Amino acid sequence: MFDLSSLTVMSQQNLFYLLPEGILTLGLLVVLCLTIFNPKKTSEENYALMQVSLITVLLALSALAWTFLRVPVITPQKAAYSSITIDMFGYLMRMLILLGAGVTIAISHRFLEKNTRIVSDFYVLIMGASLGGMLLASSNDLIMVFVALETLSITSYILAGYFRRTIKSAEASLKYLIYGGMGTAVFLFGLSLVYGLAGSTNFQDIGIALVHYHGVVHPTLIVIMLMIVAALGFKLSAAPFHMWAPDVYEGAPTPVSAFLSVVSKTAAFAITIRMLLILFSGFAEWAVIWGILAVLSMIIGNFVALKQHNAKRLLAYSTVAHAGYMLLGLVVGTSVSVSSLLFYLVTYLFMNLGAFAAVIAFSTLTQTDEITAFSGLVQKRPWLTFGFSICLLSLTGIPITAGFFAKFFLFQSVALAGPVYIWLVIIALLNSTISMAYYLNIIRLMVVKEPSAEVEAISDSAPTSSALSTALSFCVFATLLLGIFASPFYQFTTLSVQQLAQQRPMVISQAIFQKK
Amino acid sequence: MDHLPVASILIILPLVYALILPLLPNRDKLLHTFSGVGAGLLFVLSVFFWLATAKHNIPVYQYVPWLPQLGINYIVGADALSWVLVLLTTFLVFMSIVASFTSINKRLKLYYSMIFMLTSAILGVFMARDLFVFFLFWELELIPMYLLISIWGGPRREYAALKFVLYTLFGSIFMLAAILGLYFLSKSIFGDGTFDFSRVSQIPHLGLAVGAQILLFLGFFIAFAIKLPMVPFHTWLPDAHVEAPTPVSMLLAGILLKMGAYGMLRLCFGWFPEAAHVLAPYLVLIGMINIIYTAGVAMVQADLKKLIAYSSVSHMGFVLLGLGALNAIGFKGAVFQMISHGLISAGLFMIVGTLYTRTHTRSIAEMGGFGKNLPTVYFFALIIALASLGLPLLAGFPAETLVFYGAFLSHAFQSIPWFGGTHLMLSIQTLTIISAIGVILGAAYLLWMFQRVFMGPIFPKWSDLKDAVPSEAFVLAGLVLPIIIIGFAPNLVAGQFSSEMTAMAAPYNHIEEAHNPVTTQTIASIPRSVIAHKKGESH
Repeated sequence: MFDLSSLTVMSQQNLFYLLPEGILTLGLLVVLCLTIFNPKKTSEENYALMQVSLITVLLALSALAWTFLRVPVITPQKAAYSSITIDMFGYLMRMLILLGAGVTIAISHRFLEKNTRIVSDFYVLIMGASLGGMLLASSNDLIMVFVALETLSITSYILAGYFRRTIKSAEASLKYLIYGGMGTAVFLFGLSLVYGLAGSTNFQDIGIALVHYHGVVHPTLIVIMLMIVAALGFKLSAAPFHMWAPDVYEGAPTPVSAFLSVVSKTAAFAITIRMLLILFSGFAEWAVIWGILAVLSMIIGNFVALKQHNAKRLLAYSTVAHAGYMLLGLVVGTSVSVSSLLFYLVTYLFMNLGAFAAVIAFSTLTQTDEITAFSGLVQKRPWLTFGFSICLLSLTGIPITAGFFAKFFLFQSVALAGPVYIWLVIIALLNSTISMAYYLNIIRLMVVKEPSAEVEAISDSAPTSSALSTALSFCVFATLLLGIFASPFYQFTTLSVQQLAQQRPMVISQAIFQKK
Repeated sequence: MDHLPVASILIILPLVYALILPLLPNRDKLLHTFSGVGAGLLFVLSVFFWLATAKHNIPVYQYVPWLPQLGINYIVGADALSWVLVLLTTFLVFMSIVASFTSINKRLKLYYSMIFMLTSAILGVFMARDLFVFFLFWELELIPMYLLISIWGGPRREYAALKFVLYTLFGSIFMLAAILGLYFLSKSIFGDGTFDFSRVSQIPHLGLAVGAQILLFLGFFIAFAIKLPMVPFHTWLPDAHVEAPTPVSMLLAGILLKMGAYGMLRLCFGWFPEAAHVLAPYLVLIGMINIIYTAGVAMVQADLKKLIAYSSVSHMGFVLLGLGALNAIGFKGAVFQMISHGLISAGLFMIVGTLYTRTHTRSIAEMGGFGKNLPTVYFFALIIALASLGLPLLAGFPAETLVFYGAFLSHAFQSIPWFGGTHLMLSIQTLTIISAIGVILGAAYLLWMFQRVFMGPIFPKWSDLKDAVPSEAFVLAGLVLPIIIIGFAPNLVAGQFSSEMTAMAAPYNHIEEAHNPVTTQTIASIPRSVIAHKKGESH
C-alpha cells in the first residue's frame, strides 16, 4: 500500500521531525528582535521576555513530544539529506537539552536582574546554544557535527563572559574561548583525517569504510582517536582536559555554570556516544583511552572537590567526577552499560540543575556562595534546605534518590561486563565514598550548625522568585520520582540504545568475520 | 484484612507523619501532642494488624514489581519474628516520644520528623523480604540517626554522630558486597538476577561451596556485628549513647541494636547453616568475650550513662551465645533476649535521662540518696535494674535462662579449631559456664550503681529535686509493666515465635542427631517397655 502522508513527509526530507528545532529558532528570532528594537527595557518587559523564552522552550518540548507520539520511531529515520538521524536516543537527548534550557531560563531571571542591566540577550544565547546542542545530539554527518558543535560552543563562550564588567567573568570567557578554540581545531583536524580515510562525511558510509580496519592497528586511526578523544574530553570536562572547568564555572554567572555543566555536557555525551557506537564501534582501543580518562576524572574531581570553599567550585569539580563515573559506561560499551549511562545522564540533569538552582537561590538571598555561609540555613529557609539536600543526597548516591539508582545501574552493568572491570567499579565505589564527605558536609552545615552571619541576615520577607522556586521544585520532584519509579525511564534508555545499535555497521563486519 | 497491604501501611504511616510535621504551625504543645498521638496510633494499629493477621494465620506479604529488568522488587511481609520486633519498635517509639515531651525543647519539627523517619526505616528493615529493599531501609536509618545525635546531643555530639555513621557505613560496604555476590550467583544459577529473600535463600542449598558460603556469611555478619555491637566493633556505641539525648538512646539501645541481631538470625544463621556451623565456635567465643569484657568495663565507669551503655553491650552478647548454640532453644533465647533487652535497656536509659534532666550531670560520684526525694523513680529503677540482672519473675530471667539452657545442651562444637591444626579445648559448655560469670558481674555493677545513686546520704545541692512528672512516670510504668508481665508469663512472648524458631533451627538438627542418636533417630527401635520403665523411674 502506498501511504500518502509518509510520501509527503519523505519528500520534505523528513523536516517534520525537526519541528522542535524550528519552533526554537522562531522563538529565538522573536526574542532577538524584541531585544534589538527596544534596547532600554523596564523590569516588567524583561520579565515578559523571560516568559516568552520559557514558553518557546515549552512549545518546543511539546512539539518534541508530539512528533514522537505522532510518528513512532520504530526504526531510525534520516532527515535533511541524512545529515540528521531521528531515533529514540536523539529524542531522549533533545528532551534533556530542552528541559535543561527551560530550567536554566527559569532560574536565571532574578539572578540576572540583580547583577546586570542587559537581561534579555541571555535568553537568546541560551536558546541558541540549546539549538546547537539539539542538532548535535541527532547529527549523522561530520559537517553537521561540526556546525552544531560550533553553534553550541560560540554561544557558550559569550555566555561565560556575560557579566562583561566583572573581571572573573571576562577571564572565564577568554579562558573558555582559548581552550575551546584549541579543542575545536584539534577536533576538526581529527574529522578531516576521518574524511581522508573514509571518503565520506556520512556516519553510515564512514562506518562501512572503516570496517576494513577492524582489528588492524593503523597509525592514522590512532591519531584520529586521540584527537577526537581530546576534543570530546574537553567538552565533557573529563580529566586531564578539565582544567578550564572550575575557573569557567566559578567565573561565569551561576546560571551559565549550571547550563554548561548540564546541557553542554549532555550534548557532548550524546555525540560521543553516537560517534563511538556508530562510527568506531569495532575498535577496542577506545576502551583503554576512556578508561584512563574515567579513572583520572573520578580521582581528580573528587579529591580536589574535597578542598573547595566555594559552592560553585565544589559543584564544578564534582561535575568532573560525575563525568568520570559516566565514562565508565563508555569503557565497557555494552548495551546495558550505555543505557545505564543514559539513565545517569537523565538523573544527573535534574540533580545537578537542582543543586545549582539552590546555590543561585542562596546567593540571591545572601550575595555569597561560600560553603561556610550555608550554616544553619534550615532555620531560615527549610524548604530550600530540603530541596538542596535532596539534590546533594542524590549526587552522593544515597538510596531512594535517583542518583543511587543511576550509580547502581551503571556500576552493576560495568561489574557484569567482566572481571577486568571489577577494578573500575571498586575505584568508582571508593570515589563515591569520598564524595560523600563533601556533599554531606554541606547538608551537615545547613541542618546541624547554628546560623551563620549571612543566614542570620536573611529577612523573613526576602522574596523568592517564583520561577526559581518552581524550577527547583521541579528538579527535586524529578529526582525523587526517578528514584522511586526508575523502571519506565530505564526501559526508555534501553530502547534508545537498541536503536543506536541498529545503526552500527557491525552487522556487516560480523558477517565478514563469520565467513572467514 | 486479606487484601490490605498491612506491612506497607506500617512503614509508610510514620513517613506521612514526618512529612506532615513541617507543615504544622510552630507551637511546641501542638507538635508534642501530634507526635504523641501519632505514635500511639501507630502502636495501636500495629497491635490491631498483628491480632488480625498473625492470630488467624493470615500471611502478611506484598509484592510490587519495581525494577523487574534487574530483579528488584518491592517485597515486604511479616512472620512471627518480624511481628515481635515490629511490635517492640512501635511500642518503644511511642514510649520514647512521650519521653521527649520533657527532655527535648528545641527544633521540635525536625526532631519529630527525624524520629518518624527513623521508625519507618527500622520497620522497613524488619519487614523487608527483598535484599535490595532491606539494604535501602538499612541505609535510610543512618540519616535521621546522624541528625538526631548531632543536633540534640551532648557536647561531643558531632564526633559521636560521625563515628556512628562511619562505623555503620564500613559494615554496609561488606553487606553490599555480599548482597551483590548473592545477586550474581542468582543470575548464574536461576538465569535471572534476584534479590527476593525466598529465592536467594535457596542458593546456599544448591551446591554452593562452603568457602563461598563462609565469605557471604561474613559479609553480612560484619555489618550486623557492628550494629549489634560485637567486640571489637563496639566502640561507637558508648560514644553515641553518651552524647545522644535520652529518647534517642532509648531507641538506639531498644531497637537499633536489634536490627543487627535480627539480620544475624534471619540472614546469616537462617540462610547459611553450613557456614554457621563452621564459624559457631568463634562466634560463641566472641560472645563470651562480649559478655565478660564489657561487663568488666561497665564495672569501672564513673559516668552513669556509659555504665548503662556497656551493660547494654554486655547483654547483647547473650544473643550471640544463643545464636551460636545452633539449636531451637538457643534461637528462642536469642529472640527472647532481644525483646527483654529492648524493654530493659530502654528503661535504664529512661532512668538515666530522668536523673539527668534534674541534675545535669551523669557522674555517679556526684549522685546519691535519690531514693529519698525521687520515690517514683527509685521504685521503677529498682525493678528495671533487677530485671536487667536477671531476677526470676522479671523479663531478663527467662531470656538468659533460655540462652544458657540452649547453649548448654548444644553440641555445636567440642573444641575450637585454632592455628596450624591445633585446637583450643573449649567446648560450648565451658564457654557457657564462663559466660554465666557475666550474670554475676552484671548483678555486681547494677546493684553497686543502684546503691551509689539511690541509697545513702543525699548531697545538700540535690535536696530540692522533684519527683517524676506524669509523662516520665507514664513512660517508666509503660516499660515496667511488660517487663513484669513477661517475667510472670514468659510463654506469652515465647509462644509467638516458638514454632518459627524450631523451623529455623531445622537445618541444624543433624548436629544434635549425630551426638545424641537415642533421642531422635533410634527412638522407634527402643522397646516400649524400656521407655515405660524410664517414665516410671522418673516419677
